[in-house]
Amino acid sequence: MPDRNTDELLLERAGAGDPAAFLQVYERHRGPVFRFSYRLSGRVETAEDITHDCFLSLIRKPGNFIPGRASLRTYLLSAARNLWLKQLRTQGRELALEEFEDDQFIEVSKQPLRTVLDKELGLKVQDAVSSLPPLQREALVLFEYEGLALSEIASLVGTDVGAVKARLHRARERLRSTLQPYLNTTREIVTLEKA
Amino acid sequence: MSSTIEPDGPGEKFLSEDDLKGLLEQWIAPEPSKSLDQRVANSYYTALESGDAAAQSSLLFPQSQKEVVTMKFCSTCREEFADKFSFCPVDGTPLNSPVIEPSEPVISAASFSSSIQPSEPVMAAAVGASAGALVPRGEYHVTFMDDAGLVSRLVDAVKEVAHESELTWPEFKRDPFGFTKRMVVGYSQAGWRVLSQPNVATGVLAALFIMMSAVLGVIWLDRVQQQQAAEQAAKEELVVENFIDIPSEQPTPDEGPAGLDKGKGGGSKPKQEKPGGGGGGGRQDPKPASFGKTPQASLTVPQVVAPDPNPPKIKNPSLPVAATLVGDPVLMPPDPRNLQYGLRDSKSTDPSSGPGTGNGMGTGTGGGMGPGEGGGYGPGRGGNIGGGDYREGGGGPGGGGGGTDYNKIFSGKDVTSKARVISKPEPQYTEEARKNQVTGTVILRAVFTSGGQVTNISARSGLPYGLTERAIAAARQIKFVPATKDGRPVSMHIQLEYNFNLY
Repeated sequence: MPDRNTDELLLERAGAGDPAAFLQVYERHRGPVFRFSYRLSGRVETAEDITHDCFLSLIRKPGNFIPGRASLRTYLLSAARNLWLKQLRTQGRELALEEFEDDQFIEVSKQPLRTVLDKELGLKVQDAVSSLPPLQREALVLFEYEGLALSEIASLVGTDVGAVKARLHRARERLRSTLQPYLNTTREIVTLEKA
Repeated sequence: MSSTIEPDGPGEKFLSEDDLKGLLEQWIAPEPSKSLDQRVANSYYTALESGDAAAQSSLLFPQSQKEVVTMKFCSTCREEFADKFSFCPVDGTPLNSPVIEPSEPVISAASFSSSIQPSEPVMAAAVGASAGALVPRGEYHVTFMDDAGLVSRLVDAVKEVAHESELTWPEFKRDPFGFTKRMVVGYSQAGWRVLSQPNVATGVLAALFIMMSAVLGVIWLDRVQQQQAAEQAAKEELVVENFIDIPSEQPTPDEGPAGLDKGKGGGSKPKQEKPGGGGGGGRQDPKPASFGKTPQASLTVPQVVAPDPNPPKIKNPSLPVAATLVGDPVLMPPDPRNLQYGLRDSKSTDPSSGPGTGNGMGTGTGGGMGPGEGGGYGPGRGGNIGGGDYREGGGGPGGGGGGTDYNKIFSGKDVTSKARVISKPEPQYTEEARKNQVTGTVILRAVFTSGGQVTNISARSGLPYGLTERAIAAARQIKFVPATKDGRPVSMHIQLEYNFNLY
């Protein structure tokens, strides 16, 4: 008996007017799509817009997703990537003022050392990843954060595995160069905590 | 030992990769907000309700929402035309705007709540919020706008205008005056309708005022900046050399020697007095005295040698003596021209001393020049010039134009002979200017004084990195022979240019 909860069947039911099926698909994939969009764009609002449009395209353009070619997750990530690139082309890189709102700053006196340093470290890592070139950034996010295989990344971004490897290598080298001071910092924190 | 970009061994490489992964994990992405769930739910249910994918609220395909056909109504011919027409194709009347009928789909709370399964907590909450019918068509979130390029949109607009013109052209040909009149009236009415709406006229006026204020402000700011820049440039070009105390009571300047105002005065004496006297001579030459210049005149040095157009040719004379006249040097200034001695008004060019006697030139007697007697010039007697008996002339105020103040600073065209530079040291490049590849010209203005100093140096155009200062320092070291006027050394203005080039 076939599984009634595969993405393809759920989508079919959603297209036929079953909201529960659509909700199930959405619940299953919204996290990766949103995180991927957020890590590419660096902005929560943009990531939400991309996620919204990705899922809407499943209903409005159901023929775009061909089940035999790739998984639904790959399709959604690919759609998110296209929307992000489209935004980059049309709008350029906007200055995200809200990233620097007050709640982002860390109140040093009220929080433990580790929390403070972790938050600051997270911001540094975010800055470092955001400063990567778009192709290197998407390869790194897909590999390191989403855990996709090299072949999946290659099919998603429309290139071969060698090119993905090269982009990953360059991204890591650049990150090592940028984050080198913080590599030592994490060790010192661990040493402090052990002591 | 800390990990580096280029680790030494495989173990270190592993550690480095591990550290990098650990660092990357520090960046934690936030969870999607509830509003996103609500938006997606709204969009999904709207799509289901309307049943028309092209009319969805998604911003992916905003242009598809324009596919609703609307019509415009012509009040003249009572016909309806497509929305793209601004004027009636039949009679050219401006078309009325279409009446927009509200067509928002109403989503019932029952249809939402009945279709939600309790096992979907997040979406159920979102849909529950939607069921409250607070935002039945979803929130407005500007995400991706129409990505048609500027050129394509411009081309579309031009095509539309061209098409409209094509449609209205027959009507214009049929009745150009009426067509134009209707168009003007139509546009006027449309404009008036817009302006007569509440707050529109005020808003337009306010916008115009703000815009004009901004433009005028920018222009004013630009002028102020230009003025400040000019003042700054003027300040930079001026160099303070020294301060001179100017007394409030100025001494009366010397009146100077008299000029050559004939009939009233002239000569070296300070008091106004008409000069007199003359001279003449000749060497009994049958030919008339020839044309030429007058020799140096002096009232104090007695005449030793009379002027001669054919001076004796003595090679390497042990005691060379120049020919002179007896007269006031102010009235007979030295003639710098390279001529033989002769009479100023003679028309003969054949060198001759004239038929007179006494070794001078002319028809008179004596060592002078002219028809008179004595060592002077012209008719008269006893030397000097002016006719009649010998008399030293002079001039005061009005006696001959006031004379010349030799203490003032002259310009180059007012001096008899300009200052002659003997040595002019070249300025050296500064190290900073050489590093910055500064080239150009420093123009200085200075005074070459009668005493041989270079003073009042000011820069008319300078160069940065100390080159102007180097040029001024070099100018101070110039050695020169001062300019002269009427045989006296005088000060003169001079402009110096120093070219700084790097090769």
